[in-house]
Amino acid sequence: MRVDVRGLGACNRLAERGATRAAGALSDLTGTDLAVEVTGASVATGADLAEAFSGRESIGVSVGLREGLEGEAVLAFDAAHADALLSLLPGGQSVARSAVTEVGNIALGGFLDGWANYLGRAVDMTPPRYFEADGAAVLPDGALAGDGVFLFESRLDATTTDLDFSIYMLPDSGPFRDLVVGETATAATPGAETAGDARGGDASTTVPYDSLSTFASLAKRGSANAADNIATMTGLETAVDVSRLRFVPLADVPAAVGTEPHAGTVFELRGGAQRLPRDPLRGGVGGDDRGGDAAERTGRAARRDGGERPLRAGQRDDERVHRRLGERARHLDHPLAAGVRPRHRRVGDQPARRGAERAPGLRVRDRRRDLHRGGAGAV
Amino acid sequence: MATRVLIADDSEFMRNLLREILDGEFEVVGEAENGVEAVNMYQEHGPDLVMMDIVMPIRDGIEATTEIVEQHPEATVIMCTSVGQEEKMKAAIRAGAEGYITKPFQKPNVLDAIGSAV
Repeated sequence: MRVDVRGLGACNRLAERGATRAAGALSDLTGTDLAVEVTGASVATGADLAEAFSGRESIGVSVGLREGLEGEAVLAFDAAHADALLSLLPGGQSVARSAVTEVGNIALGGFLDGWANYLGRAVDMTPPRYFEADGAAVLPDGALAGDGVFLFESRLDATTTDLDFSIYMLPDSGPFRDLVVGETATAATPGAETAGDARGGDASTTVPYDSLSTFASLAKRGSANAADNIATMTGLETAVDVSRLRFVPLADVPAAVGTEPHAGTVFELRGGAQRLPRDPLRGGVGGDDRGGDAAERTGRAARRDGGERPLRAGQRDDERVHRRLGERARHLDHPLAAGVRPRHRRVGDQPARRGAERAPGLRVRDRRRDLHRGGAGAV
Repeated sequence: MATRVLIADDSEFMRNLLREILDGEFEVVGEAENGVEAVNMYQEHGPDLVMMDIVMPIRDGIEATTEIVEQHPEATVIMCTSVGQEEKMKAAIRAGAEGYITKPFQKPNVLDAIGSAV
């Protein structure tokens, strides 16, 4: 089974658009501005998800999906914020459960509209179901089963209150699998708006599904080794919370990392990439909804310049992200501000070698923060 | 004489909200929690207008609308739903709905939709 990373990117953009609609609906309903902070797709095992979501108490509303898209979608928020939400809903306090259920119904309805319109088919929703859950039980049914699933996640944050929501969608099968997963995976053309435009991928945009799971396992194992080394060197007790391989548009990485100050070490690995397909992870898996697919966009720029496409694609976007991280760090008046800067080679410094692009960068961070609120994972 | 309205929505919160919006200018003759109740209450009350949710248990709003309009071609139904999918809108119109408003809505949206339909 192979995964078409461009198809996955197109689906990620759909999820982001859906989340934007959901945020608009929730804003109208509650009178509080909400914005989509991060939308991404995770590849994770049930055990990893259970670990990542442990310790949380959530309230959720789920709907089953039928016909055009099969699976389940969930709107969830921190149980501690239930009163804050109800206070924003006229008459909500007296029919709390019904009010929250309707909030989920409206938000998820908005989220799914874009998918249905893209697929050109109706997506039937089952009536919404209210539930309270601990840990990863908030996730759609099936997310915790099996060796690995694609889980779309969007985080919607209120701009003036602590209220925030997460949307999770776990597609089962049907047109989604046709787009993203299959023996001969098709590719979604960047920016395509209709299903008919979403065909015509080639082998260079697909990767074996097993390799994604392997990347996740390697990241986890490597982080455990790093943690052991740090513990040995410093005597500090360390923990590893890398538990998911998560695809996030590069432009969303600063939001995914969050506003907490971070100190870290960033390094780049070279070599060993020849067995990888054509640099699928660097060129903007998930893409950039505000400017089209990153790989395609930067690829066009590179061809104009006569340069090597994948390297430039990664450089350009990474520089932008590093600049944003640096700006954020400066905003926080944090020592990191002085150190964050693009450390990639300048365009043209790298000799062109076809078929031997760099491996995706591995970043090791000490991230003592809540993954549920947007851990970047390995990008 | 005030326009008589039947509300069909599985959400008590939304039924309350609609009732509040309609109160004073319209007469709410009943509240149904699913499509089967909506059909039965339509037979019972013969309202001038039905505000019909789409996603409901037992029988959804499109099926209920189809049945009501088949039995009462003069019926006026406005879909009032969280689903804004084009295909669903087309299905609602095919079922016989006169109008379509998406949640969340404000009072003017509801009054405009009713004004256009009746």
